[in-house]
Amino acid sequence: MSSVKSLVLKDLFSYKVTPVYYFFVAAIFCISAFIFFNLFGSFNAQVVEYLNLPVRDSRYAPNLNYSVVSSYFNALLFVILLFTPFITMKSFAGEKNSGMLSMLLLSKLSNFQIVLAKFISVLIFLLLILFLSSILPFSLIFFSDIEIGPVVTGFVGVLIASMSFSGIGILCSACSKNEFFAAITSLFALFFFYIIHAPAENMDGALGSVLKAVSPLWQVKDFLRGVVGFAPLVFFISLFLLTFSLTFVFFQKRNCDV
Amino acid sequence: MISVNGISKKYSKDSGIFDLSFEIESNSLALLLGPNGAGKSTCLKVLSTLSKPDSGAASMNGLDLLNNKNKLQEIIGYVPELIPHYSEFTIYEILSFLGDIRGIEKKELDLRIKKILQEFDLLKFQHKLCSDLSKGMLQTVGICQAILHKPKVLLLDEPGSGLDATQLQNFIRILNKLKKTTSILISTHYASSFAFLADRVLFMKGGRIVDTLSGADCRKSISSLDNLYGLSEVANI
Repeated sequence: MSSVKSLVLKDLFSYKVTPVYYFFVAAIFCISAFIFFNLFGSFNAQVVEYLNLPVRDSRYAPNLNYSVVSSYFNALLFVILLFTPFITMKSFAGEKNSGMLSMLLLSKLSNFQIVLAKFISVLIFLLLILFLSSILPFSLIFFSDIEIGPVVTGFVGVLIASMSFSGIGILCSACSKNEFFAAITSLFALFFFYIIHAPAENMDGALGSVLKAVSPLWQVKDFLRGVVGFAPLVFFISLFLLTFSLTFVFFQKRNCDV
Repeated sequence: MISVNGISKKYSKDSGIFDLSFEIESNSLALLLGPNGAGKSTCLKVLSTLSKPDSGAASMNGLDLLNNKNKLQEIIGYVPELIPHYSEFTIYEILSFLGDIRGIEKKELDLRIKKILQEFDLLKFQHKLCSDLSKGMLQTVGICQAILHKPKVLLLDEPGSGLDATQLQNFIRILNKLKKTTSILISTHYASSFAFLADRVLFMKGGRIVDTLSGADCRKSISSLDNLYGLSEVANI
């Protein structure tokens, strides 16, 4: 396992020394902070509006969890979706491009270990980004009487959805020799999964159910509302395992001739 | 000992290697000579286990190419034509990483890296980024990584390209030393650089071995010819 650790550390080191990844982290943090403060600003406006009402009905009182936290994690998911392809693009395509894939294949690492190390390093990097981006909603716990449950489940929801997004990104990287092509392919694939949500919402019947079942945005809804559902959990874990297996199979098949 | 029996690897009808058979004694150096597209790189790639042959068999130090892939990878050192590297890594970092994934213990690895870099006169550049290295220096780093795990079989694809006279001289000196414990197969266009080290020379053309010479015979031919193309013409006569 020490070879896996070396490969993970190497990938993380590459993130550390490549300026473009600092840009990604900073961009995600800035965009998410912008979204957060916008949502918070509009929540404040709603509160002022509500307080100015001559008759107040508590059922319609602005809800910090719904107005800010849930909407924030929803938007964060989209931001992560946009950036994931650029984080995962180097995983395999970068190794092929630099010729280092042949060195990895001649090392003590098995194909499974190479794929595992690639997933671990991307997940660690994503986790770092998510932690940074979640500081703002979590800080509300200390400054307001917000419900903690939806904040935690929202974070978990975005985390597992990001895991499956990264799986798709890594799979695209394993299928391509060109980093840029890998990023564009996975961006299209992820965007496709994302927009499936729109027709799914307005569609009934079998097709509607199928679209809902494969829509990450639909599946993550419960998490953002503070409910940890068994079905969404199974969906995201299955999607992650499926992309992992496909990456492994594809890598195994392809690396016969690097 | 490297033993190759009827290895074929086809990319298209007339590209690849076809029914290659040859033997290279233990602790000896053989040259694979031939023009571009002769199949030298494909041959080395197949022997390095990176490319699966379509047919045929091969063994190195008694280990079968198809059935002992993992064990073979431990005893093979391979330098591809284009030196693999991470541009954001320094020479020391890349060698340390490659040693790590080869399973060399950290303390031992540090010692080996220092020793190899010293031998190749790269110690003072160990903290230089790979992206800032000249072609010759990068080539030298490629050779360093290939011998880091003390391989028993060394496969070198155009190792002389990009090396200046001093680097080449140094490399030949190290090859001469390695030859005592390692079987070495070098693919090259230019026989002159390595001919006086060679125990055997194999001429390739169109994916096939068209002739073989002993090292001594090759050296005699070299004295009357200036370059490899002259040599390969001799082989075709």
